[in-house]
Amino acid sequence: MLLSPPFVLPPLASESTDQHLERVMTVGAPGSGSFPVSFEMNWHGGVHLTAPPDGKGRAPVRAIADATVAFVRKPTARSSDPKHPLNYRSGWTDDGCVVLKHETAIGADPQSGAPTTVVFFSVYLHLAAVSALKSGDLVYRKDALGAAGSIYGTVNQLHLEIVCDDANVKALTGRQSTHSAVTANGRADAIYGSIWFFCPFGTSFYQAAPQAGKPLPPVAFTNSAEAFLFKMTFVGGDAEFATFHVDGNPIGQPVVAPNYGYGLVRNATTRYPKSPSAGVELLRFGRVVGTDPLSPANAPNWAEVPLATGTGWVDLNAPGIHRFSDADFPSWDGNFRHGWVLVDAASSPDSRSKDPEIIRLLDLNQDSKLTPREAQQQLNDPAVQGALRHKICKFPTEWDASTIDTRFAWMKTELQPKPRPAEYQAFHDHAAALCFWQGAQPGIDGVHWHFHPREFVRHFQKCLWLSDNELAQCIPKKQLQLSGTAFSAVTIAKYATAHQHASQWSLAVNRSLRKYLIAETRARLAHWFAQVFAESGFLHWVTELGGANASYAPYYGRGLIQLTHSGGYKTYGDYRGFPATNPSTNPTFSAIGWDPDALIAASNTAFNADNCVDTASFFWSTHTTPNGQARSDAGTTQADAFGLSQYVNGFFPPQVVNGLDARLETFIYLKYVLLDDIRAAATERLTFVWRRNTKQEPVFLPNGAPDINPKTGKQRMKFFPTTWTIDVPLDPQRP
Amino acid sequence: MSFLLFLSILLCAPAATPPESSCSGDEARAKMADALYRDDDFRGYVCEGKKCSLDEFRAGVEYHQETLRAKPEVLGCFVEPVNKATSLPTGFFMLKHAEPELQFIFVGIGLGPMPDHRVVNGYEVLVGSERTDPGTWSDSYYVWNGKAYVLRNTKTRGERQAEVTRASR
Repeated sequence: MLLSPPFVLPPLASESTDQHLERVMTVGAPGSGSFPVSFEMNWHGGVHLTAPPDGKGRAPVRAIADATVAFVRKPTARSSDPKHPLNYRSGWTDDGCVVLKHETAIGADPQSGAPTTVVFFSVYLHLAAVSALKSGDLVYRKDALGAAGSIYGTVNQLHLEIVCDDANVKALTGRQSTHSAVTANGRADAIYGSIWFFCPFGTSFYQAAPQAGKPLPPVAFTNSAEAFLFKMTFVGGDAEFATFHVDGNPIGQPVVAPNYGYGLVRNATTRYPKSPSAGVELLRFGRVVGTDPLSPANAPNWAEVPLATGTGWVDLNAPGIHRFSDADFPSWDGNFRHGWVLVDAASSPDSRSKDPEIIRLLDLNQDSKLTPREAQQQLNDPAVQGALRHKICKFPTEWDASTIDTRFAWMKTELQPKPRPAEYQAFHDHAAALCFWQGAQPGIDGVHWHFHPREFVRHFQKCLWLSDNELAQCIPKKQLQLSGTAFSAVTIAKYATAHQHASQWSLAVNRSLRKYLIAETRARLAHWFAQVFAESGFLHWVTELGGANASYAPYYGRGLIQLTHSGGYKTYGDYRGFPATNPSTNPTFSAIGWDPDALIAASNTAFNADNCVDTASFFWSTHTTPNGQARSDAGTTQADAFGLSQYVNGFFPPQVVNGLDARLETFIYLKYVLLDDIRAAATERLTFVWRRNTKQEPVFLPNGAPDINPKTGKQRMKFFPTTWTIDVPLDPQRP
Repeated sequence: MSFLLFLSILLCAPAATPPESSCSGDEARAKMADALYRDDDFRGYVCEGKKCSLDEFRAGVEYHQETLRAKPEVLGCFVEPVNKATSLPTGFFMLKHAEPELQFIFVGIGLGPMPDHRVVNGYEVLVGSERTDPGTWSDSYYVWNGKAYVLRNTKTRGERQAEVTRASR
């Protein structure tokens, strides 16, 4: 799932990811377009956002993810008639509207590989202008949908709503219950973000890291009175461990494990020498979700975690400790601060929330009677706002005209003073003018689940599992390629081919990128794909054609970043713990003891996709220090992409780096697919130093005489550098 | 008891020192590393484009030995970076009177004797393999001409396959 905010602006240099999101998704004040209730306790299924300045005016409203257009309504021409239904309260309200249906993937079943697909809708309302769209059109993340409009006379406003049905709230959150269960491990069909450990009471924490074969160090603490929660978050190349009471209050100060992420494979190889690959999963996910077995199965996973005083070492793989991730939308119990809570108010047709979960938060004196004053006061409390942002609420849509009278029946009976018929009619007409649900027929019931849109974006931006369609878009349509001394356009793949490759590879690619912490940031993804595509010819070559005659045969290239040489195969086989084959039945590979034809690739059509990708990610994680993840974190400039090209193809001068044109062009293309760069033209200019000829050229001495190698008597040959300027095609890969 | 004594002697015995006339000798290795350190591209690869000392460079290369001719024995030393990218330099030395003499540096996937140990002019033919783009591999063949190893030809595997196909018709 690739998600972006509805307003896309580049981050400021000093801005964190969260700060950037807050800036581009500035939510209206409490009681004025906040989620999920107003001061009057009316359900509000979305948020009002103010379009930020973009240097040319206000940022346009953009699709938050790839989608099919479910509904479009052009805005009504502004009227000065005070009785116009859209002239209500303090001014004009625009009714331009776009509804998008998103269908994507957030993971896959670990056993069957079946994708965990999710469907949700995004609603963009109060648009003052709508792009040329119609129902059924395909739109893509960051496509402009229109311009933010007016709400009651306030300009540059957008009502954004994210909704789904029952089946998809389960697919999205992994549950239908109000709170998370802690009696078993969390979902494995989607894992992203922080890793959580539920630690029952009675667990021992040691003063130092226990060592295998040595007596345990003294116990520092035992949580005899209550269960604890640990949260492991990957921050750059480190991991941060935090401890919480089950009500969400932190215990002690977070402990940083330096280089935990960048050194993942090396740490696993040291700590789990009998099963390093499974060890990577244990350290990464807190559990083994892949097929490589951990040996021994109960191998400890010692981690230093904060305690009330100091720190302690705990075995996170001990029986009784259960593991989760942000994909479980953790809440743990009703008091967990900012925990995700499912609030099902579907049974009430009332426009007002009477849900006990919401009332409890707002009822200041806890007398079970919520007064308007209490509601107003509590809705202004940042802590309460934080809790409300993490409620996922099921209630009737605000946009169904047929239910207005039912939802607002209370106005005629409970409102003091009661509205006069004309007043109610004006309200009704205004509400009806904004409704669209019946006309839209988006395919879900009018009573459905609502997420806080900014929290939804924040949460799912941690999930970089790519759907087949998203992966297909990563393969460019065409590129410029140097042939001889000139660049010319070559077709890389039409959409059908790109999608076919994506379907074939997406499960293996996603699993691997998640395992090796490459799918932690979109920059890491872009760098990895740029290099792997250049190495594999866009997921085509997984064996070295004609490699049987190479000096290193039979250990010639296999995989997406190809393993070569017996030493490389031996290291990788030891890492994976591949089973030894009988040397007498398979003498060809006796030097390594396993069969790479069977386990990696015998040809470009007979291969093990998981292992082909794994070889690439293993190389990426271990080739040199800093590794591929660390180098990707340096940035997304052309220099960074060149650095990764050297990392993969060798630390040579630019003219010696093979395929540098494809590596740089692919990276530039991917910035527009994976990052938040907005395509402003059909091409992007690239100036770079590379070989001036695809063939090596003869070398001459300064006096013009051929430079002859005295040993061979032949003229020396080499690649000569030159500076190229080309316009990289950015044609999006679309059906 | 006597077996244990034998075992303890065996365990305490110093490791056999490689003969100086092999690629394993400290002096030969030092000379080969010195020669490759002077090559900008080789040093640039091992040092990742940054400045590094000769000692750091020496720690970043590994050696292996091949017999180029059986009788009288002629040895070749192949020096490669420890960290192998998808393209890497290989320094090829011949040992002449225990002195390593740099023949050439090959840049590609790898360089060494052919798998079938083909011999021309009494010496092993060397093949260096390179991948210039994802679907194009080429092999460069080096033969002994009586004085030195010289490049005989470079062919893409596609070209070679086409030759084989033509020849079989």
